[in-house]
Amino acid sequence: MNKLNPLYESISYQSAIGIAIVSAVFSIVIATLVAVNVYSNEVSVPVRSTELEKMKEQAKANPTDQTLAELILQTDTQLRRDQFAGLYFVKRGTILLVVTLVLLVGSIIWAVSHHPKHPEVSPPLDLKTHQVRQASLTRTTLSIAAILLCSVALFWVLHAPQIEMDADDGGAVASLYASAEEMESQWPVFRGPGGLGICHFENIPDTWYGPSGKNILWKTPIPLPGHNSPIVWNDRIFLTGATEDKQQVFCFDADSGKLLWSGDVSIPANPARDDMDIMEDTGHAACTAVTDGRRVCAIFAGGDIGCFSADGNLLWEKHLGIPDSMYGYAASLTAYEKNIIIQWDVGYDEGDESKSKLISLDWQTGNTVWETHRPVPNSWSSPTVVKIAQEYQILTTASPFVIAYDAKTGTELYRTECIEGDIASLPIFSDNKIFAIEPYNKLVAVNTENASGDVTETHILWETEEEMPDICSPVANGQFIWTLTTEGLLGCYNVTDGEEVYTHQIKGSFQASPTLVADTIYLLAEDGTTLIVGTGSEYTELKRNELGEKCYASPAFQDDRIYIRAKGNLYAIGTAE
Amino acid sequence: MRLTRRALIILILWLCCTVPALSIQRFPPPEFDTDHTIPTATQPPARALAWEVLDVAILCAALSLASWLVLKKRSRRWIVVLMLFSLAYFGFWRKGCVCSIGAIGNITLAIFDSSYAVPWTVLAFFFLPLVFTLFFGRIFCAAVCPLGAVQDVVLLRPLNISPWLETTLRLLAWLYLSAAVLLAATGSAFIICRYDPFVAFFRLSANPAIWIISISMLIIAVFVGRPYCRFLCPYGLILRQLGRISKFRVTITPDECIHCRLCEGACPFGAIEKPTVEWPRAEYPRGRKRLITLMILLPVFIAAGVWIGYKLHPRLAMNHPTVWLADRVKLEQAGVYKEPVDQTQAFYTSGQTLEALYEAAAEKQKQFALGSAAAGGFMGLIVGGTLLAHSIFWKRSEYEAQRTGCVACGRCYNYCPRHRKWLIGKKEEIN
Repeated sequence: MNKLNPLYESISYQSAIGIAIVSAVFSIVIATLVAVNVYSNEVSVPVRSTELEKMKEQAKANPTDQTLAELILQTDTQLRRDQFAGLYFVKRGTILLVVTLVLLVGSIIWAVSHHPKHPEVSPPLDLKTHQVRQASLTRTTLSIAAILLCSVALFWVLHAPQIEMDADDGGAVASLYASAEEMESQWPVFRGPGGLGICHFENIPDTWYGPSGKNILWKTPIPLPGHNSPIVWNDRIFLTGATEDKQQVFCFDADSGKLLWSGDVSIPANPARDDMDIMEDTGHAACTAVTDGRRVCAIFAGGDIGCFSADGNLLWEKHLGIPDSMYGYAASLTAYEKNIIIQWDVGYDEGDESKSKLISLDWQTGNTVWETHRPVPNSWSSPTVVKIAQEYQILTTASPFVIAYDAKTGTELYRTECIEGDIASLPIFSDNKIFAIEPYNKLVAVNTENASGDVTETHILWETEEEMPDICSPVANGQFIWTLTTEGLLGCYNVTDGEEVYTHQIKGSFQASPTLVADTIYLLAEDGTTLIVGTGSEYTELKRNELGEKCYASPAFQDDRIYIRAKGNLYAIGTAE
Repeated sequence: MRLTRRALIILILWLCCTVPALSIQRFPPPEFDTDHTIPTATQPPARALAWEVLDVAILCAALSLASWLVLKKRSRRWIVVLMLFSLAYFGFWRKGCVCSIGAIGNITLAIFDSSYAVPWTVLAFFFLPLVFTLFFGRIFCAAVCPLGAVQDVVLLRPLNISPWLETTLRLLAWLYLSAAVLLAATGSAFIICRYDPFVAFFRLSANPAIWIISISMLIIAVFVGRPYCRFLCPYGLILRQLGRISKFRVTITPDECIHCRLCEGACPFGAIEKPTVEWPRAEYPRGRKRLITLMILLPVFIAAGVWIGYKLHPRLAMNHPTVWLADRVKLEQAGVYKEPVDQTQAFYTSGQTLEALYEAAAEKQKQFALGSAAAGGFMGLIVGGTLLAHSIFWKRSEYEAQRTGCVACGRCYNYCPRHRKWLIGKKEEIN
């Protein structure tokens, strides 16, 4: 028995080693085959086949080619067949591989157990010092490890942005882009929602006096000059200001008037900038910015656009080039869903081709989404986005056209040839009509119902040839439309037929457009006086409030607030508690 | 023999590298109409009760058998057989789930979230090994845990890890346990399951990151005995503590230690404690001073841990999907990210308000503040406690298996001449 045991051990060991070698060879062969198969299958995945992709591209260019379609179908089917055949092979190969691996590991264990390692006894240690050294080493390395861990944690703490979630941040903001409905609940563009100059709040203050501070909630200096109007989104007010060598966007806190941040928009070196023809009355920051609550975007006289996050981080800049604009570029921005809309009316090139276009930029990236050529010269008017017959349209005015575009695609929907001159007033929409002003001369009403293509002959409802404004935009309440000239002539006309209801000469000069608040109209004169007049069929002055500082920009209205940009300061007017 | 071993090691490493190739591949359906009906996504049905009962019965049987093999039969060979069975059944057949280690997440969540119900099988898989450990030591690790088994099987060339390195590396396990409990308690993630280093082999499917972890762990396991069990396993830490007070446990010798020193190199896991001798006399006053200092510093360690944990909570909270989503949405709103990702796109179309999202995220952050502080304090306690434990003189007169570190694999039995004599005696008894 004693003699048999070593023999048995030897045979067992030899057999185990033999099985291990055979199963190892098998494992290698199977694993190689499986791996090769998998990697070759990877190459032939239909979505990665360049051949198939090429054919698909060809099919896109030539969608009626039935032979090509058939070929694509055959190729795709074949690739998928190859894929599934490969997967079947891999599955079977895997099972075989697992079996051979089990055999391999089992035989190794068997071999090791029949060829045990003889215990080796190391020379005896000096246990006294060894123990102490081991304990000391353990304490030292543990302490080092703990210090390292703490350092890593501290580094992480100190160098990582601390993310604080404030439930108030989310209030009204519900998506990455503002919906049209959301825009209508704020004062996000020049003259408020749709550029209509209509305030939807009825609790607007009607009494204040600047010199004494009565109902003036706060007054904050504006760092740079500009004629653009304030825009408001919840508790933030945005303005821009510029000089020849500095362009900035400002954000103020609506509650305190504190300047929260200011962001620079760069001025690229361009020799043509020296030739810019900018009137002092226009200035470098005449264009009102646009906000969707998440971002604010501004354009300046030199065609420089800057977009900032609501927290003041510069997201992107874009430079459209120096506009060829007499007086200075002044078109305010507007927005629709994911896009910013720019009315880039900049005259003709040397070949008498219009360079004007309507541009749509992506809010997030500043990339051009679409551009639509406009057959018009310079204009100083701004585009407005309004809902007409359940669709959002962009309305524009520039000599000689009123043109409506699809707000999503920028496709021209219809146009009317009805106005001439240097157009600055915005078109407004009321009672299914677009009202446009030809400076000094006439007010035109265009029917929007079933309008398509050139509707000059069919859709002009009426024209009123009276003294009309050259800067201020009109305001309408569905029954009457009011116009206000720079010299203070307030005209009231019936929207149905354009009949004059009354005209009234107000003493003073006006650049700010009128705003409709419930059944009153707020008229802000250059000297800072705001007249509140009734909306009846006769001129009725209800109140008169003085601010005590010159004003050129149209005010912004929000819940229980009026924000007025005066020459050097931004004012918040409210009901003082 | 040396050449054969090297060849085997290379072979296993090479095979490990080919395993990722076995992952399941998916690609989109064709863009043209076919007769094939694409099946709708369905939830896999719950495992039948009979199978669940069978799983628990097999676990119970395996634990009982392992206890008998380790303590009574003292047979390394049969322990290996049972280990291979466990690897095959709990590992490859049951695909590593349900698993006692991963059950920590379920149990923790159930404690902190009353709306979460733990399946009875998970409870059984969590508590049965603990109960057996209380009585018989770490027999679960010996022959029942598939993760331990897979590492044991590939251990070909064990390197000696110094005790100081072993103790220090074990901090990782405490850290992992703290993180796992914190994330499970806050409902963020079951990281033990997510980062299970061997489930990729059991299922032959995983994402590339897990494959890298799995293969690395297996390669390390060829040279370092059970690296996951010793330096990462959070369940192993619990078993270690229970092992301290277990009624019965593995002994190298069946009766008496004759101080032959043959077992000194037997354990690839460094779990054999040598007899100790008195420290040099000069060491005692120093040791006493150190002990007192560390005892005074212990609250400082805990306080420091609490502070660091608290400070880390905003970052740790990012592991919760709601906090992550709120943060991502916030950054998208601020324009830091230009394009929405799938999650934020889904949120925008869900019609929920940001207010609700931020409120939920803020609430979760509060939970993290508390949890992170507690986890940090716990880590401080562990560091301080370990330093204290290594400042005390522990008296030992025999070679013995560590109560905590011994995984009851039975390798040391055959090294002991007393065991061999005991075996001959048993055979003679039978004959």
